Amino acid sequence: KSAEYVYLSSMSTSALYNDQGGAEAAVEAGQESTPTSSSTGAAFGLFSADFKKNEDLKEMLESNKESLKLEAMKRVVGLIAKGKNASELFPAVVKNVASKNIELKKLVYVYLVRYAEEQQDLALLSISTFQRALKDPNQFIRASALRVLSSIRVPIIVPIMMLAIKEAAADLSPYVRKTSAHAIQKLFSLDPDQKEQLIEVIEKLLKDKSTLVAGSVVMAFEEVCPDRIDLIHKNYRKLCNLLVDVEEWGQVVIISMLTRYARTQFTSPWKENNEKTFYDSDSEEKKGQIEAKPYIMDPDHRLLLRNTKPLLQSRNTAVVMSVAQLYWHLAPKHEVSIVTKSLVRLLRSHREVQYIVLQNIATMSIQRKGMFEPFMKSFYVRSTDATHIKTLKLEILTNLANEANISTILREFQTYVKSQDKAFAAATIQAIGRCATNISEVTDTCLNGLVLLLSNRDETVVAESVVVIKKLLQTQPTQHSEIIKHMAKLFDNITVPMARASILWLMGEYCERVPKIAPDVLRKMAKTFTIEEDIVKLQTVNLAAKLYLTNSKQTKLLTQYILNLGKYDQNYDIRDRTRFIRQLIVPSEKNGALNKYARRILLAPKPAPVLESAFKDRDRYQLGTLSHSLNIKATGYQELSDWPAVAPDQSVRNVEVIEPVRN
Amino acid sequence: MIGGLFIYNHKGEVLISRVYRDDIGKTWNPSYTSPPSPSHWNHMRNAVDAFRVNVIHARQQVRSPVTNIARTSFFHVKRSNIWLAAVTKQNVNAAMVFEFLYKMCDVMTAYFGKISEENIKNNFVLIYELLDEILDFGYPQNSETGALKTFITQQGIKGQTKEEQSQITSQVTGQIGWRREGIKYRRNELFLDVLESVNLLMSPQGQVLSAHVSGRVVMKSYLSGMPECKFGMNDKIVIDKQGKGGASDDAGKSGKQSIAIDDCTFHQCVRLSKFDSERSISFIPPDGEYELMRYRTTKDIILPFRVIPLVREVGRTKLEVKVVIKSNFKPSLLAQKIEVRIPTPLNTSGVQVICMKGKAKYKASENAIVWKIKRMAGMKESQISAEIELLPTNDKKKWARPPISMNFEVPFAPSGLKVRYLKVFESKLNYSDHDVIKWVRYIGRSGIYETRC
Repeated sequence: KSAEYVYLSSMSTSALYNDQGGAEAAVEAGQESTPTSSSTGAAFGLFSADFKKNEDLKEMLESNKESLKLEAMKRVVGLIAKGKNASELFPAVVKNVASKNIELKKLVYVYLVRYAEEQQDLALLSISTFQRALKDPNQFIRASALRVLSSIRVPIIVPIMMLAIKEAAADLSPYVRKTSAHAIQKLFSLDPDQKEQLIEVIEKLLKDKSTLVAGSVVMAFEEVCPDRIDLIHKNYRKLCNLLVDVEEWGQVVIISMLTRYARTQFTSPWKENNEKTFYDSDSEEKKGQIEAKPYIMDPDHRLLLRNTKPLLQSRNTAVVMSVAQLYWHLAPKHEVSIVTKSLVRLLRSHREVQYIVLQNIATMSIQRKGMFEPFMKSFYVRSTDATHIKTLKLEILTNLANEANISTILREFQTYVKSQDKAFAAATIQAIGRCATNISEVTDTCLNGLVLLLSNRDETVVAESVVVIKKLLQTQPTQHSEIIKHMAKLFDNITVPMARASILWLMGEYCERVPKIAPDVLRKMAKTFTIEEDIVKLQTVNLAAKLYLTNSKQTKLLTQYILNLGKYDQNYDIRDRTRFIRQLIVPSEKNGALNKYARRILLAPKPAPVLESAFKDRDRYQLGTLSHSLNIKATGYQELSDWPAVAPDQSVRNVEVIEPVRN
Repeated sequence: MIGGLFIYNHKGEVLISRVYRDDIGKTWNPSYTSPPSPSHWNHMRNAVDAFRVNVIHARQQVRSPVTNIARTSFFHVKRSNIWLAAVTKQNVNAAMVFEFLYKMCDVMTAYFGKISEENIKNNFVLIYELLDEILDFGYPQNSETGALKTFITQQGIKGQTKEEQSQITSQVTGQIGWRREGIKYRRNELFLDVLESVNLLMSPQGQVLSAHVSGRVVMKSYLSGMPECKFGMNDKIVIDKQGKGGASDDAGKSGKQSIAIDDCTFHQCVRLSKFDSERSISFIPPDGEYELMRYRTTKDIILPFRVIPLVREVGRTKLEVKVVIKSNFKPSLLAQKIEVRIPTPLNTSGVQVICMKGKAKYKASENAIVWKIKRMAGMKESQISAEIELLPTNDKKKWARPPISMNFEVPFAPSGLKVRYLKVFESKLNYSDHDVIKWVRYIGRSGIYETRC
């Protein structure tokens, strides 16, 4: 039994990554096999212990007793697991590939797949065994032989693999045909030049009517020739009909492929006048009337939507996610909402899945608030949620906010602001800011709420509030001088640099509304200038310049003092800025040209910042993909095409003989 | 698809590594001869190291379960001290990778119990075999534990006879991947467990902010042959339909309310198309234990407990807390393992507690008062009061008052779900529905059951 085998010695990281290949290859050189390229002949003695153990193993492998061989193979696989090099045992191991014992055989396979690439000549010894097994009467043995054969990455056997795949693709057993579909991808990655021949095999396998094969061959299609949409036409209806019975992992791949297919073949169901878009069985006769005004959904389009719907009940979250994205990308707008419930359900699933689902909901909720609004409560934050889940939920709640529910949402946000998770509390304040700009009815309420937060005891909360208030005031600068005055009062107690800088900027920008206070703030800043952070210093210089232009009588001396301090600052940014400002605002003979425009430069009306979702532009990626999740285009990402203006020929999908679908 | 799979221990040492595609971690280097270069094993190690440095040993808390390092993406899940990471360079379906990792965890748990470093080291031969079986070139394959157990050789099952092999093939290739033919039991028995977890978020004033029940129906079946089963419960849609047809005897007699199921998912054995059209749950069950369905309800939930908190600040150095819990179910039923967790401020210096029932203790390390009651009957109430002394601090941060949470176990289903019938039909063998011994049990547990204070 395997229990007696103990995982040897505690592993240390260094041992794991130590490449011992060189030394052991040198050992090997003296023996029967060919040396590998990297033999450096280093420290022979260092590995003598290993060397001896390998001798033992070799003896065991060559013994007649099955149990000894098995024990030895387990140890060898153990060596691989620990990152040790076991390549020198290759000849001894390969001999056992023909063993009748299935357990032993499987372990030899594990070994072969790992080392065949390094020991190509020796690997060839095992090939004949596989070729024999490919003809075995037992389908299971045929399949497993093909599976291992195709995993051996030795270029010389490409023709043998090709032949084996072609034969297996015509096998009577669907299981063997399925394995051949997987082998296609492996051969393709080993030798991309075989593409044309492989496509022929894919074309043949796509016609297969077994549910077992369908998933695997579509995987191969996606990997080898995703652009050959024409291969799908004839099989489209069959795939749709088989879909419910395909195993779950296959469903995921097929659904994603069909999504892409449908976007190239059908016209958009998103036109305005699509009240009557129900599937009409007679519409097949109406071919050629595509330009007719009322939109009629292609029956094949409808078929896909209808056949994927039951899968929303699948227990596999990936399948549910796939169907959801299919509906999002393909269904008429009023039908998309049937996926909502299922998506909300996925939120009870594991944390990681939650994260992915929330990201997708965040993207969806920007365009279609109505879809998720009834489930708003599902996005309430729990104290046990991780920060990244919390921020995503916040994002969604903000997207969902409208005139009707804003008061509920704001009440909920009030609780979040008190959270101990400071990053989250800060994000909440940002969210309040977004709600305030999006919904004009509550702008004042939000602003007042934020002003109240200014007297909060927590510094990060105050700082974040200041920053958000600054943005809000910019969007509607009228009649808010009260708030600016209030902030000036708080100024002495606020220590977070970003918040101080924001207040100074506000003072400068709206200095004409608070003519008495602004110079006083500048006076205070002149005192503390040298001990402030850099961003605060920069804003002080800014404020000084603006006041100099509007109220030079009171502030001329102060400004000059601050500019002098800035001139000798340690930070070159501040020195540069000071020099620039001085030239700009203080008139002298040299710089007459710009000076005239100083006021227009510094006090130009500035566009208000737009507060929008971070998920705004994510909808350019297909939902559910890694690319969407990372917001980066990942390798192998297939663009979803836009709907064609005129549907391509529908008749390409017609199949002459309609047979009942059987496995 | 998935390029490789690694399992790490908490120190970041690799326990298992299996690479399916050689693109992961490969940096382009002109000196490599194109495709097959043995040195891709070394590149893989770059990927392995990158994950250790950037995620396991990361300084800050890792924010996302998907990490992208140098255009290679790492999907990870953590089980106790063990990290499972799937690595890819391709544009995969993100949910699928996580779903697979969790399947992988399930399969491993089914084979050797808890996923721990020790267990993984003791079973690595098995794990390698499993990885070969459930991922082919990075594509997830049949990962049904029941089916896998027949063709994984490790752990006892070895040296199959001809018969066994043909069984395997029928299982792998047949339409029904989850049950083999020729199962026989002397006693045909089945056990149904309705396991629910009830989640609540309540405002201090007793207003329900959100509440839902997520439930599972777990079935253990020991049935001979290929039985066809039909499962019925007090689903509102079904009962309403029957009521219209005049066959309302079942619902009418018992007077039980029906429940509105928000949505549900099923084990792959349930015929989804049939559920979609007639909303009936029929299936050929796998042998042994499995999860038949999961569901969720949000309406008319019986909340087993109500928590009423009262917090009063007496000056700057003292807090008075009073919490009343009321049980809200039939007096004949007993709730068990009740635990109320009352959070205390960080600057707590001492706590005095008085409780009417059970035991309460202040746990300084957890910043909470933990009140435990072994048993409590329905329609009762109990209370705890505590005086918390605080150290004066000049810390301006106000205590955030985290919610009071509760744990319990009750012997009924908070959603109101009732099993109405489970019929078994097996036409080929000579046993009928009446001969099958059926057991049902309901367990309601607390999920996240919180009351803000």
